[in-house]
Amino acid sequence: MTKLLRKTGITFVEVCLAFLILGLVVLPVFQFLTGSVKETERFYTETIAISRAKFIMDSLMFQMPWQAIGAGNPCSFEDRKGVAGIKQFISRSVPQMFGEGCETSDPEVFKGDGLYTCRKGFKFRARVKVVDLDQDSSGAPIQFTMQLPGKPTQYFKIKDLVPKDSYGKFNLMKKIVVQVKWSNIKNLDPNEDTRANSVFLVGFKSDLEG
Amino acid sequence: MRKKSGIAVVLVLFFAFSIATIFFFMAHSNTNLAYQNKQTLYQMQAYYLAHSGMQHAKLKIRLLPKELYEFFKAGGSGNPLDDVDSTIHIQLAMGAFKTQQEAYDLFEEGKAPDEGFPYAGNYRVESIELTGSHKSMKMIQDGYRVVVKSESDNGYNKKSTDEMTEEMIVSRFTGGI
Repeated sequence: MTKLLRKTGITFVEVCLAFLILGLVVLPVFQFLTGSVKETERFYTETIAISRAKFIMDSLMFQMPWQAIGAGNPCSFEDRKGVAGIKQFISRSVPQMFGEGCETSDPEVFKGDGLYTCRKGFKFRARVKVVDLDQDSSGAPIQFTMQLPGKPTQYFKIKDLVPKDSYGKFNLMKKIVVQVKWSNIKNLDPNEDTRANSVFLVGFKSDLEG
Repeated sequence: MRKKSGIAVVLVLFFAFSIATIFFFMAHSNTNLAYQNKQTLYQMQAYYLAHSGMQHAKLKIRLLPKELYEFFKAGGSGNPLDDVDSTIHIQLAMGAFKTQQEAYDLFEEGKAPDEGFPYAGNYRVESIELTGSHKSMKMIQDGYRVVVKSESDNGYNKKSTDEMTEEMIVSRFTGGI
């Protein structure tokens, strides 16, 4: 009976071997899990950056009035026609889009640049550059053509179609570039991180309000 | 009874195999997440280029509504919005992707020139058709169906396309949509 019990037990060598194998397997798994947590945070920050860039581009392409977007890097936002509703829209929406730092010394003018901190403490910098694609800024400005059957092509320049805008330009299109830059290190300003990441969106907004 | 000896090693090997399988699927899942994020971004870039094309098309339709109607009335069969194409305007031409574009940065001086872009792409009006005219109304209005196609290009295997169709009714004399 005693002999039988001894034979069914686990030997010391078996236990050692089992721990060795287990150790060999578990060690890289723990390394992977640690790395995985970092990767998950990396994907999380990337997702936040993409959705923020989308939020900004959606607001600029479909909601922000044409006349309120001023060219520059960063661009500016101000109501140039004295419409109370637009002033209110700008003062509420721009800080939501860009976060801290988009205010200027003039309370009615905002800039397309700011710093946003997410709930987990990661920092995102958003900036928008706007370029006026006006009649005079290029040697080959945008123009429209129309060719009726059997007739020569007609050319329409911007200045033939619309008056100057509130910025004093013959302009119908603006180029919008959105950049969201972030650091994968918590509480670090992406401008101070040499390994910061960025996402970009580009759009061309046409003046459909005039 | 002798056959049961060494069961611990078998159990550990089974355990190790199970962990390795979980490990593999977790790694695969993370890779998928990274891929999905990138694809979402490329699709979004193409999406905004398609919207840019549609706004460009609407701009021309608003500015030249009478001329556009006359094109169809005169039996024009081509695409009267073929100039709504980002590749033929210097200011809109994003060109093909170049590795230098990876250095584009709005936060650094001189790395975001006015004529530069952070990635490549294009848009164009694929087709426009006159779907009908309403003459009985006070304002004569024409219906159009416009199809815009776009492409974003961030390099090899980093491209995405989008297509957008919109139907609109345009006042022939005021250009109101």
